[in-house]
Amino acid sequence: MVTVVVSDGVTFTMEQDVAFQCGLIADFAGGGGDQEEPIPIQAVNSTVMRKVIEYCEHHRNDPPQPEVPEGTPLERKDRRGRDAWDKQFIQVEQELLFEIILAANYLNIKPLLDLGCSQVAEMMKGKTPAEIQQMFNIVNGFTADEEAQNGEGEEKARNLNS
Amino acid sequence: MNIEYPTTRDPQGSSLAKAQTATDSSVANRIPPELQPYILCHLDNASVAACSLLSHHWRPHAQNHLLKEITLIPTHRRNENSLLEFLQSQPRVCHIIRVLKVKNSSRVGNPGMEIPERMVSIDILSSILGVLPMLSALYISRVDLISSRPFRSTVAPKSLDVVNLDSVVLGTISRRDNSTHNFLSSFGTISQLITQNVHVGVPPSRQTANTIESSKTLDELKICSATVLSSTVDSPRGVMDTLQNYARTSLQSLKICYYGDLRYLGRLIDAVSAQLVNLHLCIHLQTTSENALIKPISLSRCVSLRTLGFTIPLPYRGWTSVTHDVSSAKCFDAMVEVLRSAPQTLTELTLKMSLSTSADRSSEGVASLPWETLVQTGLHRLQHLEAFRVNFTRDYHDDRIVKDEYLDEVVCAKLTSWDRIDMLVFDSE
Repeated sequence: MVTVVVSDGVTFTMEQDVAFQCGLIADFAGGGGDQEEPIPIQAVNSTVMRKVIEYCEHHRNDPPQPEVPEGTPLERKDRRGRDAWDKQFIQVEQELLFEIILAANYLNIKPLLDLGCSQVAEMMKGKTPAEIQQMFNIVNGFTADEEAQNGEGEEKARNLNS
Repeated sequence: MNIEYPTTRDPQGSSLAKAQTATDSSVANRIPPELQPYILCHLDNASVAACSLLSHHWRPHAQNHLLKEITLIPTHRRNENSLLEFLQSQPRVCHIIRVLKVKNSSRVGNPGMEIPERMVSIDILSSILGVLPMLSALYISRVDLISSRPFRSTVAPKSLDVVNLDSVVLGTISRRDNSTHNFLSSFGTISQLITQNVHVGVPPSRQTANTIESSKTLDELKICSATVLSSTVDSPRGVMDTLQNYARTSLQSLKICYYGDLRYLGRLIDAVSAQLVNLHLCIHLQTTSENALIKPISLSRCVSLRTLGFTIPLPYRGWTSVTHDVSSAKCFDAMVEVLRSAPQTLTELTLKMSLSTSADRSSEGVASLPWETLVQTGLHRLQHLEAFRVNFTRDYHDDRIVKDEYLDEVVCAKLTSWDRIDMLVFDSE
């Protein structure tokens, strides 16, 4: 069994095959047997950790993911299929979705990171910049000159790719 | 999962939120830049373009994603000039581009449609390559690379991971013109060169070939893996001449799907044999020059050979792994003949049974192959053999073909006289 303590002081105890899906915990525990001291996970709170563990428990029997260099998005063929459970799991409030993404990145769980990011992408697809800005409350901060330059550059880029 | 709560609960909702600056209320802006590619890779180009206009925070990765691969469609000469001018005016963009595709995607001859131009100037293409310092892959398909005057590269040799030429005509203006070779020699190290249906407009003269042979640039050119596919009888000579010079130094793996005159193929293999460890020949013999291959094919250092439709005996000296594509009973006979003199070093023998007719693929057809002869003259001799693999390639278009599992049983029944039958492995594709 592996025990972790998260930022708001809540302690979670889970089986090793669940915990070791988090690369960070596996590295911390050194791949050895039961961990006596709770592992501190200061960057994640209990609400997010509960979702993370729910995901890891559901996928505990999945085959291991192929090794990819750090920072490389999973290739489409390597991605776990977004089954119905995954789709349901990731239907969460926007704030929680981004926190799951950050937690998956911090804990080093590539498939969960990819699932979260694909959900954000789904929300962005087919929308104009203004619509995305409104949806995610993004202030662009561009000057008028930059806005004009953006339009011109993107037009050329689209022509190159069309 | 067991959960224990602390005696004093932290009412704060998010620990991650606390780490952020108070002024930044957007959760999307809190996504670190290094995670943005994970989102962008799920989006189409139009959505990525929209992301590049979201904020300063999103702009760099979105632009990088959008511009890492560009395609030039040569429907008109001005397209390549425009691209070059655009790139020359945008040095930052040039540092982003990793993949350049030049392709004529339109079908020629659509009724009522203007026939699109499919010619690209070697000079302009070379200039474009010269301004893309981070380029790693070049794909050219269905275009003619031409030069209106003898081409000589003015940029430093370009090293690339992949160069893929598919249905490309390399045009030269006269037999003494070195444009094609000068263009090809403007590349430095190429990790993988793939050519398919490449035509050289005017084959190089003997004098040209001598010039190339002494070229320092070509001596330094390195290709680790090359594929030569040719479906025309008359075109390969120039390609073979070029590749022969390309490959002399470092080619280790060569796949040739070839329909042409085997004398040129022999010369190529002869030239590259010193380094070659993998050779895959798919050869449809249409000429009477089969014997031309026998001498060059004696590759003493090769360890892996795969042949398709091959009916001439090859000396297997020094080889450890051999794969035979058996497309007919005649191929099977040739393979058995080869095994009579196969070297004791052979550790792995694979038969890819791509039998082409229903009769051959029937249980009777498979059973009628000379399996007993294979055992007596081949398998018994090979003391170091560790695996004998048989693979029936499936044909999904023919329902009359019997199940593969049943063919496995037929082969097992025919090989009972082989005392090491436990080494028999049935692979599936």
